[in-house]
Amino acid sequence: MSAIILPATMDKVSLPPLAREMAALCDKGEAMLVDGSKVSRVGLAGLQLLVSAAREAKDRSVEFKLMQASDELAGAVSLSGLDTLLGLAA
Amino acid sequence: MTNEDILQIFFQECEEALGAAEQGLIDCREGNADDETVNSIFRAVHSIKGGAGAFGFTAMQAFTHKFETVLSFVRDGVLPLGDGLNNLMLRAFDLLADHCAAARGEGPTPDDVAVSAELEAQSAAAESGASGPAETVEEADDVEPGIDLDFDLDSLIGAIDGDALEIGDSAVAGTSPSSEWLVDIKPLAGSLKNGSEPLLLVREVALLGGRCVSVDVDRTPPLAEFDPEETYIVWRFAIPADVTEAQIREIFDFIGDDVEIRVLPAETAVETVAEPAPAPLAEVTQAAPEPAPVKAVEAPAPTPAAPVAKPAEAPKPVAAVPAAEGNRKVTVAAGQTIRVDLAKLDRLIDTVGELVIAQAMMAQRLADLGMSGVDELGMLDQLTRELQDSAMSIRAQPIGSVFSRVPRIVRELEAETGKRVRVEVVGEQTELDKTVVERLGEPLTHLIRNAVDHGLERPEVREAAGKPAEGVLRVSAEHRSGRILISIADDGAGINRERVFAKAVEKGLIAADAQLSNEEIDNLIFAPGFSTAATISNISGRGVGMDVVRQNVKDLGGRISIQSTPGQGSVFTLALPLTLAISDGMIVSVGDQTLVVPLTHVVESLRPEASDLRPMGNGRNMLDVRGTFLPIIPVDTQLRAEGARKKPEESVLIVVETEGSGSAVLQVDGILDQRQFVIKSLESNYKPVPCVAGATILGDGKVALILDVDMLVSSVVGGAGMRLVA
Repeated sequence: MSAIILPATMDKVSLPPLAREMAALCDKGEAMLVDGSKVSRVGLAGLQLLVSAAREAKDRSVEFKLMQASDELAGAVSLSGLDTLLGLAA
Repeated sequence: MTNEDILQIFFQECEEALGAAEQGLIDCREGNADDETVNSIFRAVHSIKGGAGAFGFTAMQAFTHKFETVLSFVRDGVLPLGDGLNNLMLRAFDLLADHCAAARGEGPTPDDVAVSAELEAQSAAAESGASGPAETVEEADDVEPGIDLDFDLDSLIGAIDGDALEIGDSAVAGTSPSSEWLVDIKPLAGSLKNGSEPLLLVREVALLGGRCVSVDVDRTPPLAEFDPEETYIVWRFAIPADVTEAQIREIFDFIGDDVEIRVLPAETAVETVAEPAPAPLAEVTQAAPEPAPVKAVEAPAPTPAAPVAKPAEAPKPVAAVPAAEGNRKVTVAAGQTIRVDLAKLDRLIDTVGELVIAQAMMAQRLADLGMSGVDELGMLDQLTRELQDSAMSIRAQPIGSVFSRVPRIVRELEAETGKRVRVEVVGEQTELDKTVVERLGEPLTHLIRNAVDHGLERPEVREAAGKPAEGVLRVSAEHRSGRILISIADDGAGINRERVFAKAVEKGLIAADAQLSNEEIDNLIFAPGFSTAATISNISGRGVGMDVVRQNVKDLGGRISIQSTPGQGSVFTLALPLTLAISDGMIVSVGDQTLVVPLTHVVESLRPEASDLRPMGNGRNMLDVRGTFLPIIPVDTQLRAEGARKKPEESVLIVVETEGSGSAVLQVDGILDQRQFVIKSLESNYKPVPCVAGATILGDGKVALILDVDMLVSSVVGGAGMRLVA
């Protein structure tokens, strides 16, 4: 089981391949372990992708886990009120 | 706007909040506090906490939370204000200021363990004695309008009802305090396509104290259909009622059609959410900024769920209007301000400076053509001066930012020395150039330390002298004659002149038989290396401070003077220019040179009669100025100008005042003009030249040197001055 490592910059260039990678894991029914330690820049689009992944994982009864979120990522998630949804709530 | 920009705004708002909190805490200590005073402190600490949480300053956030909890008990009357609590809150405030400084990278994270423990002990005591803990208070329905009780984003978001965040739900988080604003934020697809970042707007909302109460993720598609340029999320934020609608809308002022927003009071919003078909978010956008309180009154009929309660609740938004208006008066003014990059302002000032020079050149050209009296020239002169004043006023800042440090410095000094000091601050709204304000901190700090350390006596000594045990330190600022006067006055023992004199002799600064006036003895404390402190303390007394103070003030184009009365105290007065860039001066000719004498030094000018002059044995002449003989200084010999008039009776004499050398008379050939001049640094463009403070460009394009009158006079007559009384 390997984790998906989020890129340092989650922008519209890096998101489509990431979405495909995540979708493939879901299709296989494999747990989606997402490593957010390298993220230094994330905006609304990046957060939306994580939300989409979390929702799809739940629909398919696949585990979704956002791990080692960088300060930047954790701050953006918290600011947006998504920490419970993305499993970052304390 | 980048994250860094927003962070800088947070830091600025921290400074403002700290200023408000400190004033409130001082009022508490002096027994002048009322409910609003405590509220204002609470709001300030609260707002810092909110920003600290949003930006991840966890240590600051944790500390402010403890501080805020104590304040909430004070506000609710559970903890009565007393000396002990006031002192604790002031120490907590000082630590909070240190936390803010640490967040800015201007110092280490402070050790707040001891004060945190004291704050927690106070809260624990309050909880055990009160009817309910702070959390109970926060959940109370009858919270005061304008006070949102927790900005802690993480804990708040975490506290949101879990169901509300269940995927697929349009969440509504629990209950919101009834007097908050609710703001719906719906980014539109175009925002991501054109490179905007809606998250930055959300961050700004958080900076206003906003907390996310619900997030709608219903529209988020499956991964296969995910489009990185589409927007799916809609937020609802609660913002405290003491924020105005204008402040909220200001965030979204320049975003065009990128985001739809809806701003409405909580009651209206709760009803709207309860409706089966919520009104589209676009219904109330920034294009329709009608006042929300009015909307609340016009809200649709009450839902059946609360048919009885509604009439009673209906007046709430209306009742909130006066309070909101109270805030609005302040905020309207605040809303009419913009933040401008300092570099842009500096460019404006430089351009105005060049305009002053160009205007002078044109005046010169017209004068050469015999047209110096044309009306348009006078108009241009007037307009240039107004433009300069306006530009300078943009750079002007209230001196309060420097004065705000005073109470803390004094508190620390009280703790170190055992002295008791009451601080009086006057004129903190007085404005002067930003650069002057920034460079004033160090000399002012030293003068205050000096006043407390050397000036004010210990309580027992004061009482023995028939004075109140508590000394008074008065720091004031005022505009006077185009300059800023800043005074630091104490009601201490005054300067011990015998001791100062003896020390100066011991240090070899003066001869043992020197005949000095009281003023001249007082000025000895500015001599390099002078110190009367028996032991070197870490407060002052290193013998470098007052010398540095004087140099700092001089570097700012200012002067410092002392008035001291034994047993009654001392007053140090700093006279500073309003700006460092442009000044008024007298253009004079000396032989082949054209020079500028800054007008701040000039007392009068005259053509002497031979009978007014008294030759001295050393070839020097004295001028009789209404009974006082002042030394005449031929400027040409000091600046090596050639071709100047040698006889004083054939020259023009300018009586000047100096900082350390008293009054003197400058001998020049003639006065050419009196006008504004733009100060150009000789040091940065060439090298320091003795007796020259800088240079300027005249109307004819030539460079003229600006005289350093202080240095010129002291180099001739010496630091102690030279004055005979007839």
